[in-house]
Amino acid sequence: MSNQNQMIKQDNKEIRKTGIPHRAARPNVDIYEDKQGITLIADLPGVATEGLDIQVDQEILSIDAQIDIPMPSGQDLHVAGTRPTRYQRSFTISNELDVDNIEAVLKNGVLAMRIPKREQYQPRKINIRAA
Amino acid sequence: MFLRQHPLEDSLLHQFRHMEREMDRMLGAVGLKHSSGLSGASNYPQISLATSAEQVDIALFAAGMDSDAFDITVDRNHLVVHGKRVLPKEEQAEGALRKERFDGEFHHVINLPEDIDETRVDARYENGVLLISIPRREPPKPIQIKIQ
Repeated sequence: MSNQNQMIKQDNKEIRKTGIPHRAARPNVDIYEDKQGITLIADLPGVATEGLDIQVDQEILSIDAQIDIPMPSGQDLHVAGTRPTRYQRSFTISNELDVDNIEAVLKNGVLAMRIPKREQYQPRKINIRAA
Repeated sequence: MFLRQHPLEDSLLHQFRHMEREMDRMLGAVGLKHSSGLSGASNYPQISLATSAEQVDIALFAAGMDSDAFDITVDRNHLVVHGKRVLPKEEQAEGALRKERFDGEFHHVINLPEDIDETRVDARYENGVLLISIPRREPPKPIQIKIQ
C-alpha cells in the first residue's frame, strides 16, 4: 500500500505546465486523481468541438482550442486587454497513465478528460482460492 | 511637467488597482462579493464588449452553466448580470491536484451607451459563452424648417 502511495505522489509531481505560447489564454483547470486514473477539467468558453485539438506526444498532453464567438458589431474591447483567440496549455503526464485510452467530452465550454492509469498501476483485487 | 506627470499617474493607478484587487480578495475571503463592473477587479467571468452604430454586443465567458443560472436585468443604461456556477460535488472529491476553476456567485454591472433600446434585449448561451445583444435607438432625424 505504501508503495502505491509513492507512485501516486510521483505522478502528482509529474503533472505540470510546460509553457504558455504567446497571445493565447491559459485555461483554468481542475485535476483530480483517484485509484483508477486522472480527471482533468478545463474551462474553454467559446470553443466548439470542431475547434478543439487535443494531442499526446510522448509524455506531453497538449490542449489547443480556437475561441469562436459571434460578435456582430465587429471589433470588440476585452476587459483584460486584447481578447484571446485561442486557449493553449500543455501538461507532462506520467507514463503510469494510459494515453491510448483517454476519453474527452466537451459540453458548454467545459472539457472533461479521463485518463486511466495503465492496468499494472491500478489496484488489483486478489482472489483467494479455497484451501 | 506634463510628461513627468504620466509615470506618477500610472504608478498611482497601478497602486489603486492593486488595492482594489486586495480588497476584492479580502471581501471574497469573508464571503462578500464586490461588484466590479468593468474595472477588471473581479475577473470572473471575462467580458468582451463590442459596439456599432446599430447595436451593442456583450460576451461573458462563463463555461459550464445552465442558461437559467443567469439573472440578467437592464436598468436604464446599466446591464446587470448575476450568475452562480456550482461545480458538481464529485469533482470536489479527494485527490485534487489542481483547483483553478471558479466556483460560486458573480455579479457584474456593465455600463452601456445611453441610446440602447432596453425593450429589445436578446440573450443566448452558446458553448459556455453568454451573448447579449442590445439594439441602439435611431438618432432623431433633424427637422428642416421652411421659412414662410
